[in-house]
Amino acid sequence: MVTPLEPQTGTSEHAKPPFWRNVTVLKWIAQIGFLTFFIWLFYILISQAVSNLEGTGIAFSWDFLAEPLGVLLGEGFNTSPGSGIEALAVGMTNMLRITASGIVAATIVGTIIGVARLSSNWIVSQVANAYIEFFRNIPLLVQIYFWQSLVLTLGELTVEEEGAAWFFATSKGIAIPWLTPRAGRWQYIALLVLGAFVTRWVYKWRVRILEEKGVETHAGSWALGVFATFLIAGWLVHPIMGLFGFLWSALAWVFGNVPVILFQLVFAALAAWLAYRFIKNFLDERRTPAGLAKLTDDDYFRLTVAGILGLAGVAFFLLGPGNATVSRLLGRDLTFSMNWGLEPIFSFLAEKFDFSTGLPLDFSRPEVVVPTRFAQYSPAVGKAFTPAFVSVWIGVTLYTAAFIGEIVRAGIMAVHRGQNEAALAVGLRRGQVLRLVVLPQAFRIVLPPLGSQYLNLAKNTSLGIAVAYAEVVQVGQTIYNQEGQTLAVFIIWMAFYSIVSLVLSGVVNYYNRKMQLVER
Amino acid sequence: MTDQPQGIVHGVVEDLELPPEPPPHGPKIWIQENLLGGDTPTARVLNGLLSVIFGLIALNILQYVTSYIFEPSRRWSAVTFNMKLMMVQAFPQADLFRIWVSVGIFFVLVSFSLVVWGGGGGRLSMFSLAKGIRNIGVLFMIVAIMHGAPETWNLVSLPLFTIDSPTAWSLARVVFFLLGLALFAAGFLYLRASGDAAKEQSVPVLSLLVAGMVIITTAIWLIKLPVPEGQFGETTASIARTTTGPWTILFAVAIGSYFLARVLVRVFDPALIKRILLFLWVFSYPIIIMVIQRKPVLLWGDILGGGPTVWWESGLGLFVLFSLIGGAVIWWLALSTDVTVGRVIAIAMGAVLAIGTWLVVNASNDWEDIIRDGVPESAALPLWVAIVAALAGIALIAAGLLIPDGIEIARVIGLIMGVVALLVWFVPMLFVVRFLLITFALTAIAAPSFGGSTQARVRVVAVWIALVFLVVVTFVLGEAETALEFQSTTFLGGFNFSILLAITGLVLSFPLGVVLALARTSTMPIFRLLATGYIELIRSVPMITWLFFGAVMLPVFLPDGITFDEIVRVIGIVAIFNAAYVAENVRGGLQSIGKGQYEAASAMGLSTVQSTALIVLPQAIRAVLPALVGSIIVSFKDTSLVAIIGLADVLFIAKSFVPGQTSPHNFLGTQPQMLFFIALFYWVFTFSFSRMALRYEKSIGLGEH
Repeated sequence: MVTPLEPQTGTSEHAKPPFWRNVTVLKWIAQIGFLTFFIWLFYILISQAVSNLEGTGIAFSWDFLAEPLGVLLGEGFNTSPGSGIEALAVGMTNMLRITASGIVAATIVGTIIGVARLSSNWIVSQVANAYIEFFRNIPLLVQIYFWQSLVLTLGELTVEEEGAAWFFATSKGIAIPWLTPRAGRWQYIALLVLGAFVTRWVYKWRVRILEEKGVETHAGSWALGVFATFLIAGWLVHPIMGLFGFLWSALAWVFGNVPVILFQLVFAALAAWLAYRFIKNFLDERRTPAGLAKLTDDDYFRLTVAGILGLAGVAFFLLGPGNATVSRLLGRDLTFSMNWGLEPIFSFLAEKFDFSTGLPLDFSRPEVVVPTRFAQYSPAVGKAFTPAFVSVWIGVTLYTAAFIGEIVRAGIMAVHRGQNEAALAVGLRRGQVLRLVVLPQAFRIVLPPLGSQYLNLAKNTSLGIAVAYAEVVQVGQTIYNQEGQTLAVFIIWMAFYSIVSLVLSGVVNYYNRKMQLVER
Repeated sequence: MTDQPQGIVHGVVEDLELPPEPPPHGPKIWIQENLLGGDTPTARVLNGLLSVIFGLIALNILQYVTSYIFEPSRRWSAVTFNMKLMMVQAFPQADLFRIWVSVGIFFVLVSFSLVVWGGGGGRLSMFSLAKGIRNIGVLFMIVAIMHGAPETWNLVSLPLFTIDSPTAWSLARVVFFLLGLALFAAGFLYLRASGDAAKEQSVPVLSLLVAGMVIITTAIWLIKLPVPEGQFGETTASIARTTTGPWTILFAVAIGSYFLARVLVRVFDPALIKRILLFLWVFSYPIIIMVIQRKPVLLWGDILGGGPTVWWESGLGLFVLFSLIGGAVIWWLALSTDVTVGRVIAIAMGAVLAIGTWLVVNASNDWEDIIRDGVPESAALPLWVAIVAALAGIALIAAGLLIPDGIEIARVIGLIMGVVALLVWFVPMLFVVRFLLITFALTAIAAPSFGGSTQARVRVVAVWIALVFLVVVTFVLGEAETALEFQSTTFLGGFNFSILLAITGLVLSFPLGVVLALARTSTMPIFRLLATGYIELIRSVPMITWLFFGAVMLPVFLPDGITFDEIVRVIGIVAIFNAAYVAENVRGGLQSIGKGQYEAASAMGLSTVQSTALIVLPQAIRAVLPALVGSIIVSFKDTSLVAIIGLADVLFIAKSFVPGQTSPHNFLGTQPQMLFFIALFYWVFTFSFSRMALRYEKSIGLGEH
């Protein structure tokens, strides 16, 4: 008899095998056995580590995050941090600074190299080729060391050079003119964000007219004009954004007065809702007109894990640890001075939106000052980059650009030649062909490998430790050399890099999904 | 529109290697088409402008580099003096021949492989060869014409491209110029004279290689470079006299063994030579590292038995015992149809296990104490292990008595041996025996899948004996002291160490990577989850943090009494790190294999293990060979990171050791040029390797659609 529970068992003549010969059962036994072994091994290693650490007199703890720390960092927003967490925050911002600017620069240089590689001009393509072959075949660490030694062979910064100039390149680093943010920048930025929304709306409006009436509406120029208006007019009228100050202080008041239990309930409900959503979507996907499809082992596994995670989330937020976490996130009951709460953020913002008429930005040239016997760049005006920053930045940018160049070249070549010819045949100009036909298609091909290059760049910034650039690995090493908390620092490294990788690949995947061809 | 391909389209033509474009019509047309091309006058002007700008950029960079190299204050003697340091670091002078022998073995193996597996790089068309020679000539002439070395080299103060006044022409520059002119003339005139015929003619790459070797040999006998002389002072002699002779001999050996191989291939069966060569490739590597370079003090008592060592604890005894008894069991397991033999084997193994466990436990525990005071904490784990092992022995006996099917018995034996091998890890015994038991368990589990015909059974047993040999030899040699006298923590250093790190890291990572890839594509969710977690965790964190993990934290996780040398730890970490990347590459290959392959294999009666190992994996790995070769290059470049954790690889020596030397020679301040040299050094290796890989891929038809 075919039982209704197992519709796929067509041949009922075969007796059901005994459980020790049932492949499904055996597979699960093997998996659970291995999992047990794995967890046991993990447990042994961790307990061994804990007891070994206790044996050396440095028991594992997170205390160094809160305790005062006597280290000086090479650069960053706070070169003499008061606690471990502050030092690590400086390291993280330094790492993100170099990652973000490096990604932008490497993309620009790489695209130029990739396009130049395909040029019909012999010299241009050969120069690009030489660039790629040179930079990608030398280890990045050697390149970074080389740039560092090159920067250090530049002339010394002498006392005679005191005063402002357009450009300094000395063994103390490179200084360039810079736009320094001033008091009015918060209101100005808020106005620009508003402007961006308006611009987007205007652009869509012009495109709609174009699609409806079929006349050229110059959507791009309109959008550009609107944003330029905001950019220029905002310089004068940005104080009106002070109105937002009322909103921020209201929000700060709200968040300052909500009881913790409400946050706990919200987070717990969120966890439950996410698990419910996942399970529901999952089952919906497998629902066919004939009823629910047979679920595989894998499906059951996912459903179980989702359910367990949801319940664990609810339990976590409703019980003690959740209380502590939420309190800590809200900035109350602090074991260390970490103001990540929502209330401080909004009261901080409320302070900045005060109808002040200060300048948003200030253009300034770098200046050499002589506070003691030695000359140095003034931190107040212009922008000075330390030799460590310059060598790491140039290193990762040029190195990654070589790989991006290859990717861009492959992407452009992968667009079929017929696309080019067809676009020319319908009367588009060469620039339009590139902008409207070739590049959008190349972008789709280029995006996934480009994303992995961005990840590589982010990870490669860790080589800054070789030239004592104060990024997160270098700061972490400084801390554990002093405090001995290697395990804790390593966990922080892993968490930080995992989060950066997740965010980066999340962004790339989002665009990748948007750009994907919609098929059937 | 002209019919000349433009921009992007031109690139396509070049890179897909379509039939060659129409022959050039002379330099004027070439310049018109390649430097000033365009549909409209504006485009032509723009293109010309681009040519000028990029040409100036290229010339300027060339000038910066050459003026940096040839500036009088550069002390390139820092490189020539310290070449030995950078290559092998603290390796004792008197034992340097060991390094040369290692290189010689490598050369011989490469020569033989080139003959046996054919290839040899194929042929290079005379057209591209002549073009290359002509272009190198032009480059030489430009460098000679450009202004020579300025008084002091400074990045900022260097002027833009200048041509030096003729008065400053030294003899060397004239010679250099004339050399360039000669090369240019040779290439140009050949192209002129042969015309289209140059594309038809070609030379084997191998003969070019031989020519290169001859040229290098001549050069190292003729060219004089500063080398250290006595305690102080320097003198010029032929490039490091200690290396001139060896290189000449090595080149001769390489060429000689090539011709020897050609003779041998005709005399003997090529299949046999291939098999022997494969064996030599696998075993030469540990032999080179552990015997030739490490110079172990061999204690014959430990190897052959006698003295304080019982014969069955000696290397030879272990090898004979394990390869005979294990070989017999595996011979049966590889075709397990005979039930009676299976019963005997299972019962014997079960009895040995149960009785042996009882003896071990009895010897190490005082039962009266245990009954009176309970199990002491120190004995708890071994006791549990012993109980499980004894139970496993009893289970084996029961299986041998009860199960009516030979194949089933074989499976049970494999499974139980696997469990036991994992457990006995915690029972005190010789470390090498633990490893041998694990190896036996793995082979026993695999044997039924790869057995079958007599030939297959012989192969399985041969693999088993080879594994036993490898494990025993590794342990015997690893436990032996080294007789080398060096002033460092290890005999490995410099480039020698970098190469060791790259090769060992990759070889070890490969099996792990394949297993991870299989687990990640498996249908079993927990295996997939663990593999995915491993791969993503390793890949999301930079390599340098893993190296710190290996250098600083790994000792913390290891049980008391187990310590590894820092180099061993770093090699392990590199292998674990690479495995994640290998796994991702192999996964790509696995996903490219159609489901039909599995279905066809299972229709032929192959089991899951067989179809995976024999049908799917070979195809998958072949499909991703280019990516794997790419990861070899990445891995080689990444070995430089160990300089950060202070291990003396070639980069660390060049960057930190050499610029810190003050006696007998003062090399303070030579860091930039040492880095310049190291960059060039790495570049030559990676570039030539990637080119060779490209040629190889093309020759076996990979990457073509």
